Amino acid sequence: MLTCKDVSDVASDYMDGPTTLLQQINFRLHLLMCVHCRRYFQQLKLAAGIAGKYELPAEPSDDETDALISKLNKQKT
Amino acid sequence: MEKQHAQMYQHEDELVEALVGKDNAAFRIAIKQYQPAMLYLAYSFVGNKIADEVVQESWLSAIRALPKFERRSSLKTWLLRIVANEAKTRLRKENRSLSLEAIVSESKALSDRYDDNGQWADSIPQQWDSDTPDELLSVEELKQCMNRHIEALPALQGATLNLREQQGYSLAHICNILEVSESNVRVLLHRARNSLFLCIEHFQKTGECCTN
Ligand SMILES: [Zn+2]
Repeated sequence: MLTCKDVSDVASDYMDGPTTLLQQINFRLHLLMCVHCRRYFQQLKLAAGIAGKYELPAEPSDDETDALISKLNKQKT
Repeated sequence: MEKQHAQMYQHEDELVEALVGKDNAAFRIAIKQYQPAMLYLAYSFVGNKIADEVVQESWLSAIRALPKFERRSSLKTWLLRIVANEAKTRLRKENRSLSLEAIVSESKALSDRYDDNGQWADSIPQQWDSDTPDELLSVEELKQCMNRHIEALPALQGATLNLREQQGYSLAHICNILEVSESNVRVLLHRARNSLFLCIEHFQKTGECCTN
């Protein structure tokens, strides 16, 4: 049986799958029975999801791109 | 114009060939296409101020090294690996910490909340106001707080989080880009995600940003 502390140790791992079948069963079983860990796991996924919400910086402008290209051309190889 | 250019190279190999040949049109396509991800990775390591410099240095090294590019990974992965290397070199020069040990030493914040039997004891997780990332981020103060928190994460944690959650890279790719083992990638993700969790939780409880 996993303890609640065990759950917090493997929760992040679990998000990246695949863990062994036995681990998955144990993890799922604990969540089924433990409302606190269920909430923790759901909130951990939510927290991770926030990091996924940030947009990439914009494409560089034509001027910036040209400036970089000219640097690349000047470089001796 | 861009579209036409993009069609000039059916395969990445052709783009690589053209870049090796210092073809300006190829430079332009590659820069437009890959710079945003490169910049974003550099931010996680060195912050806003010098990310630009790091990326420029990375392009210079990349073009120098390109004839030796063995194509065991995609061009993008290879470029990101160069960015990570440039950023690490930069951090080392400035004596900023990069060692895994510093990152692996766990913040006690979460583990202190269990009793001796490993059950939740103190501060059991409470329901939050929102149950989607978008809803959470619609609160301006929390959004600002998360921006600051993510920016302040230790370099490798921030970079790993960025590559996994934002860019959707597999763990194997992240190992390749950051040159750390898979078990360390897992540890870094565990730390970063829990750190975000604790920060949001603090905000939900107090209405104030965590002080990191
Ligand atoms: Zn539990």
